[in-house]
Amino acid sequence: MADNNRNYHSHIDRRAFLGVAGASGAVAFAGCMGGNATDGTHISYTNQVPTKIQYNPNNPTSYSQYSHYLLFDRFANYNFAKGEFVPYLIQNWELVDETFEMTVRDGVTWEDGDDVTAEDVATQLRIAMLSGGPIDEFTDSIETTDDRTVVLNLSGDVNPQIVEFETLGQRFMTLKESEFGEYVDQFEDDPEQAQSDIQGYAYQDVIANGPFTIAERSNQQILLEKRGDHPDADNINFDRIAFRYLDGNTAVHQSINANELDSVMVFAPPNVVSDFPDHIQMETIPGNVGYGLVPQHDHEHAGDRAVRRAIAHVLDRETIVKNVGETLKKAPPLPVGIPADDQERWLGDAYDSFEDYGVNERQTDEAEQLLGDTGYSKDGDTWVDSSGAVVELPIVVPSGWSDWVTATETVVDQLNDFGFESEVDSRNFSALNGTVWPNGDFVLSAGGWLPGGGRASFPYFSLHHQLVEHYRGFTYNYTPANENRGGTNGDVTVPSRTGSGSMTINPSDRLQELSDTSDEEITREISIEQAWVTNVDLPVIPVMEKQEQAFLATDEWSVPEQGADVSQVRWPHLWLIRQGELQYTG
Amino acid sequence: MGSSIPGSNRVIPMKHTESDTGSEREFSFGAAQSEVEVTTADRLREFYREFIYKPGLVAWEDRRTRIGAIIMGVYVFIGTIGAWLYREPSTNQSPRSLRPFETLEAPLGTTGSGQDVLAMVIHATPEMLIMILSGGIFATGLAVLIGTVAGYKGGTTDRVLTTFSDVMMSIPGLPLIMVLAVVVSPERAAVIGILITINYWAGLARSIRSQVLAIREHSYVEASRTMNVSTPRILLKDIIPNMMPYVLVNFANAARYVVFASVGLYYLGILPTSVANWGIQLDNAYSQAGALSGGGTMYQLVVPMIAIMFLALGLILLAQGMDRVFNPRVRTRLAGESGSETDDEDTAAPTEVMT
Repeated sequence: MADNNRNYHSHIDRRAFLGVAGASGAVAFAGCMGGNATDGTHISYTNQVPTKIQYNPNNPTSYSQYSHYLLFDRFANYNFAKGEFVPYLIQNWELVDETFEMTVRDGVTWEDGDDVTAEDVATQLRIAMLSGGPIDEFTDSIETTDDRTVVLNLSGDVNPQIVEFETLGQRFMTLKESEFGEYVDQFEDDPEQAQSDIQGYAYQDVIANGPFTIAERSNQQILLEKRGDHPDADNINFDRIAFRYLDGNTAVHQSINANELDSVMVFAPPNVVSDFPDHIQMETIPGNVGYGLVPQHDHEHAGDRAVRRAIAHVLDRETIVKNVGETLKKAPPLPVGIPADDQERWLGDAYDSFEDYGVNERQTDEAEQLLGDTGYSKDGDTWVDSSGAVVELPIVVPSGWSDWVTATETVVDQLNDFGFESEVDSRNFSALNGTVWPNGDFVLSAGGWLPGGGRASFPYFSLHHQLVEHYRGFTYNYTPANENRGGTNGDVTVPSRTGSGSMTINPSDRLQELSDTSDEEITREISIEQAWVTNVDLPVIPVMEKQEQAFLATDEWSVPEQGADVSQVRWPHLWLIRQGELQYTG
Repeated sequence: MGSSIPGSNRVIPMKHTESDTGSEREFSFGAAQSEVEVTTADRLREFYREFIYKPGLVAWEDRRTRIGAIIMGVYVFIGTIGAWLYREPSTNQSPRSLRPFETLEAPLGTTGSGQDVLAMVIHATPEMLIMILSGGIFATGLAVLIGTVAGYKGGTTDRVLTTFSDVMMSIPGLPLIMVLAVVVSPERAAVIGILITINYWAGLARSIRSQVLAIREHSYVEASRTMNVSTPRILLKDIIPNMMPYVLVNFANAARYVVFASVGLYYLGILPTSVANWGIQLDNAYSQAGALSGGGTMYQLVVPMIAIMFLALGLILLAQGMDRVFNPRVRTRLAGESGSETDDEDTAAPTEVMT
């Protein structure tokens, strides 16, 4: 390890030298390469080449990874611990009679001196709507009633939470009306040209409205400088933040060990984390995505509910998580279409009636019982069906995704140990995504059981993902799913959650109801009901959930204590800076 | 005749051994002339003596060959009996993240998912051996076939085959393999070996052709031709045997190429991981266990690396040792047939080989 650090130092020094020789602003540069915040420069990390970073959210190429969190004010920030949005640029919002009214924060200005107005917010939303964003599905038009008020005229009844997530979630006030308003007009004249124009535009010379602005870019880092006239500028007691370019996780780990970074988001397995210096504090945030098994519902065995349930019983999710790395993943307490951290909040009293399939044990007895009841029997050590055919359950997984491959290896061993015949069938991701998944050419496939992002915390999105339309093109032939996933939007019959008997329901209809209602009771009722369907019928078998890891240096910086609610956002280090919760103390 | 063995593109004049080649002449032409004098057993014995025993003896005399052969022997042992004796790797077979030499249960430690590192290395060996064997045989076999036919036949055949080789040579190898690996998604080790050497043979075929161009002008080949011996027979009897050492050297080098390429492709996640491979171990150590990030998992990187290095070393030493077979003076003297007084053991110049 020591050797690595040394090598890494010389690496940086060489880079620094090149930078100084080649770049302008050598003085500022040398200042921040000097190590850990000697002059109150906060040093963070990006894995993008700084000179290529651009800030047009409609252009996916080189779209900023971290720095835009400080350059632009976000509409609101979803807090995973509280399960709700924290107002920011949009201070208030309300859905009344098919209008969604938002109030813009007072006193926020653009770098060029203009105020951030309702018209700017409207421009941002209009472009999102015109270019086919999800808000287009429920919005008729976007208006401004005064300088501070934006109104979305909705096309019908929509669940307010859906409007919140689609309108406020992960949205940054980037597109200033005076600069980008022309695109809105262009969309009216020639939508296709406008679409391709805005998608191709690299927005680099930005007009910032956040507490920081770009001071300098080089190949090594992007340096931001504080803007004194931002309403939250007083919360920030240092002047600069540098996002240093490092290529790959290993380089970041080494840099943390060498005490060169003050805050960073990076994946680090447990043994690496335990090797970090003591003053490095780790925060984990729910990733709302995760590894699960997507069964082929047309398959004679994987399509059999009893087999799916037996698989869920046989898997010891806690062991799988530990094999992959417990700092990286988390075992969901219930295999259900709701993220781990939101399960109790949404299921409430119903939580206990759900089947947990043994989160940290292998429930082989239950699995044997289930299989025995449906005509399977054991031939020696191997399970066979009523016709004597061995239950073969190969699992396809993208070969380059090492955490998924490790998880799959463990799953396969646990299934084989129980008496199924399983094997890892790893393929190149593009082959899977291009042909295997769309063709439904699998028995079990590794696949995400959650749709990702803050919005996955609202069950509509995560249940829709499992029951109706998976975000990847899995043709898994689940009856309630959409046609493009091999389904027919059909009914499903599951045992009743309360009491005996069974119930037949139509998940896609029920989820449509959920998306249209603004009644909280109905929202909860449908969420629990459909969660029950996912829990019993297992359209997708949840195995583990990803955790995002943030590392904060506490030697020269004050940060909230580990696990504080305020840190449960995307991304903690950058949000804490705005909130005055991350301050220079060196 | 037979002992005038070409080096790369040159023929070494064979003064010392002119007198010792009688038996070979009989061997080469005997079958064509008379069925009575030479039995099959004789011919086999002769073949063994000329093309296995003598070169083998010469090669064995070299320290490098011996070490190389021992190393390869160890790998073959590990890949056959070792893999049969030692337990198969599986998750949670031992406690997680054990370091090397902590327990006898997993002497070289375990991974983060509790897999025995030694078991992983051992059980990747058989597939690797099959891979290098199939890759080596495919590359050298095809190269010999195309090279000799092109060189001997000349004319249109030559032009067509040479152009074909040139085209294959001009296709960038690694990208081609990557694309094919994704399309074919090979799972059998033998297929992977062939895939990796899919255009490796071309350069070798080219240099074999140029050697054949020299050999075909030799009087004994001409004699065969005037006696109306068929082309395949001339190639098999007169030409290919003279290039065997060169081919063997290149076989070892092709095998080494297969080792590196397969490990690289597995590391990059291009080949399906259904086959155990050291490259997968390296990838896991790097991207899953953070071997270079601290945390003391370096051993997960080092162990498979040692396996790769020694296999490559064994193949290099074998190739270099066999190189000496090119030197006919050393060869006949050691085979006890020459009274040669020369003592220039180290004059065997390194032979140009495909790398």
